[in-house]
Amino acid sequence: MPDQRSRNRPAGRRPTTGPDTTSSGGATIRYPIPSLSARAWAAVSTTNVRLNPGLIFDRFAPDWSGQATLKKDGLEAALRAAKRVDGSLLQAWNARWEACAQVVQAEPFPLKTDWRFIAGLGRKGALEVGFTFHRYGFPILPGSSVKGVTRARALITIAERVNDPNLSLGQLDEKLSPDGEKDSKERKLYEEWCKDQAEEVQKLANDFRSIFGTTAAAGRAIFLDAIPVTKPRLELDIMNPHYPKYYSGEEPPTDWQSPVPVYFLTVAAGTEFRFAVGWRRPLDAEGKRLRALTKEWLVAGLTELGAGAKTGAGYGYFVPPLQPAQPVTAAPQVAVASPTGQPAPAADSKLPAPASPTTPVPSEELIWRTGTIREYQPGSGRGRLVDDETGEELRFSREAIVNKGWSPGKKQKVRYSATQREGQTVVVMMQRG
Amino acid sequence: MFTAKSMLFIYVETPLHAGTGRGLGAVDLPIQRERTTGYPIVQASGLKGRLRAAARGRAKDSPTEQDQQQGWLSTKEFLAIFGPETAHASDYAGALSTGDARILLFPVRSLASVFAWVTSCDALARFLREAEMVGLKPGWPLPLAPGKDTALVNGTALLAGDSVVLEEFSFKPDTSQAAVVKAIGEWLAKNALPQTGYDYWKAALPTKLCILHEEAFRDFVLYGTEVQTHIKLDPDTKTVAGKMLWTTESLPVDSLLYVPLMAGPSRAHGVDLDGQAILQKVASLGLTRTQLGGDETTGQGIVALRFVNSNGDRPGSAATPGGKQ
Repeated sequence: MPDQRSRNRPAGRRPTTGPDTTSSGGATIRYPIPSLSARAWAAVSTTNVRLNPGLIFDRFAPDWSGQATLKKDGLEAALRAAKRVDGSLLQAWNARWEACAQVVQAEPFPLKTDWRFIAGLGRKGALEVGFTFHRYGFPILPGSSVKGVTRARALITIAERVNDPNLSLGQLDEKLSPDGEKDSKERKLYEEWCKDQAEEVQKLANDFRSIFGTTAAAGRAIFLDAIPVTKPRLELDIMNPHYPKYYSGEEPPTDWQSPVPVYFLTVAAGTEFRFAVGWRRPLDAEGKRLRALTKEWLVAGLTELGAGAKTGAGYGYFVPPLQPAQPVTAAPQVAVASPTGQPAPAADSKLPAPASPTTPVPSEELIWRTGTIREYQPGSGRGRLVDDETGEELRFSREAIVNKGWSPGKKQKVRYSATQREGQTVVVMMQRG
Repeated sequence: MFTAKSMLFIYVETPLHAGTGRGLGAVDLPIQRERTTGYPIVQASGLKGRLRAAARGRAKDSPTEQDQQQGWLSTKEFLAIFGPETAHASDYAGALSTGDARILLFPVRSLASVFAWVTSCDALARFLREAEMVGLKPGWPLPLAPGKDTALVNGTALLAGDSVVLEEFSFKPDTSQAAVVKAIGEWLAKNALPQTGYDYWKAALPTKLCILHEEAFRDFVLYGTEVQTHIKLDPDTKTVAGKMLWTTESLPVDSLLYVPLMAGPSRAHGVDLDGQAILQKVASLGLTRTQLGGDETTGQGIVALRFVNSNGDRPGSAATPGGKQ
């Protein structure tokens, strides 16, 4: 492939063989990749081969230099690809991940996204916004990020106990991290600081150093990448700065500036990820205690601090799964209903609520979405609807309709809930919107 | 000197960073590579160190017979196999010798079917040479080298339109040697991939295997590795702390490496093991997974191990404990 060679190019790259063009809906889209590859890309979009959304996102982005709206097209291509991922690979990968967790003495547990979640927004990419995909094309939260969130939460816990308003988290971090040989300068500094602290703080500080490591020793906790349990749904989101010239420092925030929408990819609310904290040393009583403490900090970190980008705007927070009647805080359209009609168990904000043996907890929760009917034939009881947000077309049958005796008309707004069964998206409930 | 040889296959399950320290290139922390070809390797010393550390956890002063059947070593045997502790380093040499881990299959994202394993005739020829050296008989011939823009494949699984597209590069599919590609894929699935939990990958390997021209393969192993960007956030401001942004290179998940293992008779006083017995002891330690390379605390470098001797089985799965021949 010498004539194609120009790898690892920055965004805005130019091909050596000239961009190819494909026609899509009347507009011509140019792809800054070798022409044969662009043709193959056009060919697969009409077949049903399994796709890698990460590859589509990274490499098959349209050349949007002349037309910024094409950035959205590029992201939508990744969204469509995300519906064609390899489900059996995800299953096999989950099993392998579990085996790895066992090797590092970890007990996996699930957490799900409370609202949308974005990992890797700041990565450099052809579409200006980034996103962290695993090589298999599924979104993940890397182990290093999981460790970072957990460590940040632990720092806050210790800072609360130290109760010194003048001590910033960064300064506390600088007190806790350095270490060296016995009698070294670093060790002495830490010991001196520790001496003046309450006993509780001393204990926490020592635990912190064992778990996360110091400049002299590796931490004992192992944080695996968090991976999705089932095919995750990706969603397109938007930030819309109204005063672009103000933000770039050119003008005051005046009303005659035009907003410039910036689209980006997110993982949908309600997506379940699996986490695991392992242990590098023999798992004795002390090891178990520290591992449990690490898990506690991890869960607290992900539920209270959030992970990934835009946590300040409500993105990236996780909640324990199997928790019907979640607070509908940031996600008005994501109301969760229990199909059994049972009142929801009380929400516990810290740890996964154990499934009570008396109240059957649904293994899959229903997430209500809004859609528009495209077609419904009352005779056969079958129809199609289109999701308002993702544009995904879904089939439904009469059994799913909640309002008995009602038959939806064309273009009628409905609320529906769908689930994955055997790789297919099936509408399980639908009601008048 | 070496009286027994076998092969160890290493299958990468989470990105493997066998690093070289600070790099001068585009990546801050690059991986180890062969000087002449640029192919990724894992240096023998690091591998042996890891095996030694793992084996230490399976050694005790006086194991019972039941312990030994379960793969436990006596401390003396452990030292005879891996060599004495540093303070006594000059007493005798260890009996086990490992080679560098070399790359055989390298995963690349594919436009069709998510990902493909690529290799080249050069990589296959090197493997065959080492396999013959340790007495393995793979039984498949080396395919004829494909052209620069051609990929030898078996079947249509990787076809996007009428090309094989790996990352953004397209190759002309060539099925004229499909039988050889299939044979290689099937042999590796049966003999090199981890034994349990790998049904998906074993079934996929014969159809997702792609033999490329040397230059194309080299480009992928040079530029197609996993490069992760790391930052450290300042806990107060939640912005990047100082200049704490760095990149780490890793071998991607699903890379397959191989290492020749060689052993001579024990040189330690009071331990009577021949080369075959040494290899058998190592293979029977029960090391199906271990951790190699850096960033252990963020779950990196978990690999599956498979020990294969000349019969194609794990040495020691059926054999009896041996003495000097």
